[in-house]
Amino acid sequence: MRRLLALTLLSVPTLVGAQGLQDAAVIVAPHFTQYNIGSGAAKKSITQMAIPLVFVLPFTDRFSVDVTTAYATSDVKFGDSTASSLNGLTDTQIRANLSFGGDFLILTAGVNIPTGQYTVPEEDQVAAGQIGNDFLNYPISSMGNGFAGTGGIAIARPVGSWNIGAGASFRKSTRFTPFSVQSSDFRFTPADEYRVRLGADRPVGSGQVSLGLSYSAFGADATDSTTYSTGDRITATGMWMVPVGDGANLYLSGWNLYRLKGQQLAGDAPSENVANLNAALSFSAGEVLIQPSVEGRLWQVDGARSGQLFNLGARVRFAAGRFSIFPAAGYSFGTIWSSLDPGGTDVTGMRGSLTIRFN
Amino acid sequence: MRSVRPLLTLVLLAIAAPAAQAQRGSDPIPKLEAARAANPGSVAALRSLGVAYYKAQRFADARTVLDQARRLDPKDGVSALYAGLSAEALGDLTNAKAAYNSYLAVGRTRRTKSQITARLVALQRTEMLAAAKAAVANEAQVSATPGSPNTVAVPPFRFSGPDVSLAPLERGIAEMVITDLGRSSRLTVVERDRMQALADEIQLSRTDRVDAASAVRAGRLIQAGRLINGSLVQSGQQIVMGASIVEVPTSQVGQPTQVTNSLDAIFAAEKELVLRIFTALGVTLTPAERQLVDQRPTNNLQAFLAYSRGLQANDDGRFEDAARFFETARTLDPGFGAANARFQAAQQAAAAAQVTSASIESSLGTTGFEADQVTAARTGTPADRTGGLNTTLQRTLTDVNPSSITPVANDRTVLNEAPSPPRLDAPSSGTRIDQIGTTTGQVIIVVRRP
Repeated sequence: MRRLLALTLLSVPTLVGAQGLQDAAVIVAPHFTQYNIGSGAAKKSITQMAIPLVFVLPFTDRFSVDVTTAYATSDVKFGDSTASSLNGLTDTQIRANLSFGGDFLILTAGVNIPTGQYTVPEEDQVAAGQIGNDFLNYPISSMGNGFAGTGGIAIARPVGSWNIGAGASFRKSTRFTPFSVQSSDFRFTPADEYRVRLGADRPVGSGQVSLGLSYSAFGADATDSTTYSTGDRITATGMWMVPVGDGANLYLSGWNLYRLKGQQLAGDAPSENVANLNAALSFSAGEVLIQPSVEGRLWQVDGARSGQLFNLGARVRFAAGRFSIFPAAGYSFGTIWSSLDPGGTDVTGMRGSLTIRFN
Repeated sequence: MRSVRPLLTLVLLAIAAPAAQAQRGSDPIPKLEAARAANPGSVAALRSLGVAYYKAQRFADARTVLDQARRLDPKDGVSALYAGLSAEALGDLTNAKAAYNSYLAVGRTRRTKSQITARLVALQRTEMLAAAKAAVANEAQVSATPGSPNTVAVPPFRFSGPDVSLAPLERGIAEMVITDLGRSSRLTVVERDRMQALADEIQLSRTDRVDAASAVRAGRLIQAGRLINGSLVQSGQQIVMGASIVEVPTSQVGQPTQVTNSLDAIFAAEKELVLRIFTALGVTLTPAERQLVDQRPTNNLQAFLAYSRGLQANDDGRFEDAARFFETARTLDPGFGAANARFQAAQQAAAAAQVTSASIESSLGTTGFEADQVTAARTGTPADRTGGLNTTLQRTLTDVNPSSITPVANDRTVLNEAPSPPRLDAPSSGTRIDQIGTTTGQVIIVVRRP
């Protein structure tokens, strides 16, 4: 039996290399993110510590699979006392991509395996909700979304001096129980999602411009007795990369997320817009790539100013053998407003991460 | 169990065999050729394909596509670099130098630039040796064209005497004579290194002596009109320095001239000999030229001996030894400018000798803008700042089927991608418990059951 085991173990590297898995990668990326809203006794702190784990498995030149999961701990504190806490494994997502025709057509499919935490008790729902906020954009926005499947297609073609990319996908989710409310389960079926995307990029001078626009249409989220609608989402992205000499590149980028009006429990869900602008400068210092950045974010709800946030950060990349290492850190400050708080409340935050890729 | 083992072994082998076949099929070239076919005007596609061809040792193919990439984007450093490496591998040193110089102008990786700078020094020598080889190979043709009488070559002097430690002076004195003759605007003097390369090629100095007939042959090959055949004869503390002018086209040897002086006064003897050579060549110096000829690079015989040994080592390709001798020379006489210049050149040449095509490639490192471009070629994905359909496709894919942790899986390992917009969390968004605000307390969700 031992000899059989030894033979099996000896065969594994052969199999791994043979299947194209010699290019496999593992990414582990501990993240720490914290935002403080307000001050003194009224201060709310939302802290997330997450360890995402990604396996990238290119089985052949044309077929690859990636598996993503994470362990996350999210806390919400009011003042100095923890009011709500969530920790555990998130859902596991498996995506498979099959490319055709010189790689410029890809069929993609994914399943969301519900390994995450479900049926969040009432006392922990604050944490579950806060990390899903679009404005603060946490790395792990959800501990679980139920079993779901996605199928899609992506295609890219040159048109004149532009490269045009187009894609569409459909996501079907099944019913699950995200929350426990007043000792009963809150059953929830996320709406079907239809997404289309159109992107274009081209060289401009010595740099490059890329633009993207995607539209996500959602049906109705169904609960036991009623339906919600999160509102369709329109996302625009843009980036302009400009070489600025001696190997340095300036990246000016932005995204805008516009959520159309939807339906929520208490009535209409107002439209919402989050706009984000980022300027980053990449330059090399020996073998190390350094990228300081400044970022500004503006949040509007129903056309009214609701928040602004500025992020100062830096990312670094260097290699150590087969490891690529990406430490990053940032500090955020800003203000949020609401109709009840027209004077605004200060928001500060910090984030740090250490992404390690092995392949 | 015993009967199961062979079966399991067979199963494992059956799995491994086709898998090994798949591994052999991971050549990026077909993928990159398809990318080029889909977008022939893409610099990224051409560059990546060129780099992949180079790595597959298809140097001619590499040069063709890399030259196309360079025509489309003359500022593309990696294309210039690999075009240089490909040209060098093909023995086309002129184009290799041009491409390397182009990389020095537009390249972005500092360490690679310093490697290329060193490489250019080595190429200069290689080119000189190649030119000498070509001249010998085409001797009949080259020799048929007579050199101008004003083009003068000075092979190493011939030394004879009991103190063999003085033998390197034959190169040092020859170089001094070359420098002095070069002061006259009426003469074109063949560079010592060029003359030496040719001498080495025809094994002129097989016994470290210059045979007169071989010298004439070298003179013809280098297309000199006249040759200065020099000698150094040591006798005790005396040195006899002689020279005769050879008319290269006719091999006619002119009247020899000699200067005798003590060894300590060797520099004075050289000046006197040079003035006699000028007279024999029929050249009258202007006062300014005469003043320049009178200048002595050094008055220190030991420094000059060390310098001459450095020249010998340099000619033999022993650059580290040469640098040490030149270092000694400039230490003995800090005002010895030529020793200083030769020291630096020898150091560069020593460094250049360490530079190989492989070391140039590895100097790009594994991270950084240009390293990423080379990695793209290795993986068969022509993606970089000039776009490429693969980048476009990947962006589209990332958007239509996003990872739940896309910022981690994608953005954080690709520093040239912009930050991603947030992902939807349906339950918290639908129930609006994702709202941040200043109010404290929990959001209670009320569900009415039917």
